Amino acid sequence: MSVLGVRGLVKRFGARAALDGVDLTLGAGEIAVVLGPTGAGKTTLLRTIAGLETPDAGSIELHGRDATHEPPAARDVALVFQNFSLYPGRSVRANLEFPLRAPGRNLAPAEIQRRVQTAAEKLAIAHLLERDAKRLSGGEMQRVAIGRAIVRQPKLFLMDEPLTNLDAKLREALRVELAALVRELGVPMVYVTHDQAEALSMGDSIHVLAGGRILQSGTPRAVYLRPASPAVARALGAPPMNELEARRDGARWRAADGTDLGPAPADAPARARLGVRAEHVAPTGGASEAEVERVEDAGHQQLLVLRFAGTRLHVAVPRASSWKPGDRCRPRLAPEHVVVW
Amino acid sequence: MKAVRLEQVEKTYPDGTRAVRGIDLALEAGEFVVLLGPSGCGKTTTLRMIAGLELPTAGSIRLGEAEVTRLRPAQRDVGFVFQFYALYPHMTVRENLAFPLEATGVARAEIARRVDEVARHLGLLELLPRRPRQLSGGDQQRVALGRAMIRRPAVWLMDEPLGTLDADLRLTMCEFLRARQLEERVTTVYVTHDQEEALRLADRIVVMSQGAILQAASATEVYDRPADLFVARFVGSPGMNFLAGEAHGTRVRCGTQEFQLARPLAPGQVTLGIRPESVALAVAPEGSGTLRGRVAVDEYLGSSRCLHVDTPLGRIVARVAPDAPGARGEEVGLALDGAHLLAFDATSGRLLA
Repeated sequence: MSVLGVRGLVKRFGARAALDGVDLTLGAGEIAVVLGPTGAGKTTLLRTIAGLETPDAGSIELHGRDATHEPPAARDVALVFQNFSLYPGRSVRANLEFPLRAPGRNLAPAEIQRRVQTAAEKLAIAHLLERDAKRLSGGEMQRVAIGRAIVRQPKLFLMDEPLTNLDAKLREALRVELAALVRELGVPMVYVTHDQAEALSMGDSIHVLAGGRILQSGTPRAVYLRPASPAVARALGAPPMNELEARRDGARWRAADGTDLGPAPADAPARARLGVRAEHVAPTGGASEAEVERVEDAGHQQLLVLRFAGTRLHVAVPRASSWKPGDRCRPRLAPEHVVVW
Repeated sequence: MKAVRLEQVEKTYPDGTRAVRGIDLALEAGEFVVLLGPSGCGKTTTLRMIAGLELPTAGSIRLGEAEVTRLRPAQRDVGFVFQFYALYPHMTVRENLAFPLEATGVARAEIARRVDEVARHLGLLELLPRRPRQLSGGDQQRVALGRAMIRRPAVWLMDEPLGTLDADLRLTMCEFLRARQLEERVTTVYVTHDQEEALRLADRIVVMSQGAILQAASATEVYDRPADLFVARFVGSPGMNFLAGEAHGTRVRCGTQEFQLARPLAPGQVTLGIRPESVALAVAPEGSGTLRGRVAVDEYLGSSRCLHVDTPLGRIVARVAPDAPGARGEEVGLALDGAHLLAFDATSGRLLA
């Protein structure tokens, strides 16, 4: 049984459809990442699942029951926002206890104490419990905000770009920690982000959202290796996937200027756009010549920017290669990794 | 003559906070230098002092031959763009872009030509007749960037100019910015906390922490030979792995493991460092240079995977091929490539060998 089933969800603000028929399914203990640019509808989707917005059409199923019209409190979901909304002037402990002291919860003081302590230890903020929330660093504040979601022991986490306001370095460490923690707790999560590395790294599934519609859903591997459209390809991967306009000439792909781009499958269309990732292009072994325009250091690898077939082609090569601007080469696109659109 | 020269530049605020602690930095004409560091490291304060938006409490700043330490921003030939764009709300995008040129008396036809060119590169052509409040945050950011780049001042100063853009746009802007800078040869100081951006753009990276410069070197040098533990951890995604050990000549003992270095060290406590891509999955039995541990996190990153492995020597991250073995919960062996081991002084954190 799925934990969450969103079907045909539509939400309009005036004439504009922020969500335009969204489907999303989440299994027990899974992390679903919704990836999309600003304005794609990500936050509206989370708010609608949480019950903070009423959909104009479609349904939301939580643990097998229809929750479309349930009030937020009945849904047992915990939301974490981009802006850590803590109570300044109150201690970390008071901030963590707050959701547990809500009217109607009726938890014993010992139970509150236990939950706060457990969450604080898991998030490595136990030493900060008595500190005033306004004296925390950004990273610490976001840990407390996540802690407030954890203590509630909800059935579902909904997180809206919780790491966006943090330094790149901290974001990278926290994404690993957060995914590991959520998996350990076994609570499923819908995680919204515009950061493609977060999406690949954290998700059991990725759902690429644009203009209120899901462009593709699948495992990170499936979406990364076989993007359904150029729009999806552009959303994932750094550098983005190379795109080449091609026509089929017998058993070969050719660019507009006649450049041979490699073998074409027999059933391929006469005209297509080809997509190939930088790591699936070798600088040598191809049929046509290119020129190295730039060599970029990208940490663990180098990126060659080639002038090829009237466009630019990114090629990933190992670090400390001897390629330099002006060099000539013959790039080869690995045929098994060429996506045809 | 250097295009920009900072000597013993200091900034202490009235409350006693030392934001910048006597830094020296010189830029060659046409050089692209990136100031990189976490929040609060002093990089933005440094940039603002070069711009003249803040005055140093000690030291001197020269742009070319001119001493500008106490000059107002308008008296310095600099163009700047900040993360939080400031556009003129009553002007259209075209007027905003043209403004810096009109102030300098460029011919009308030439202004129109340059505005169109910049707008085309930044994808702003359709937005030219609009006003800032009709634009999204990302579009406003692009206009701000375009406005800074339309003029060719002695120095461009940029504070996270791509900060609010979406990833794909960010990369395009990055490439445009660099291409344009190379074409115009404008000396550029660029502030970011994003090290991938720094690696991609910079002729030279200046890593800052707590108001001091820890290292100023090429991207390759900073990555391969970080000056200290902070730089090693900060640069690289994920950062370098560390192991505590004790040096005996060319051998370093870490717990029950022993590693071989290329160069001998003085006896004492050291911290070994190794990049995730220099850690491989090992099939060989436990022995010199092989560590066993359990995979705590298996992070798929598209072109590679990062296995976060808990070993008796602490957590080690290995960058492996997307289809390599090693799933979450499994036990694996790790081989550390001795040729890529660095040794740091355990106390000072400085690079030894």
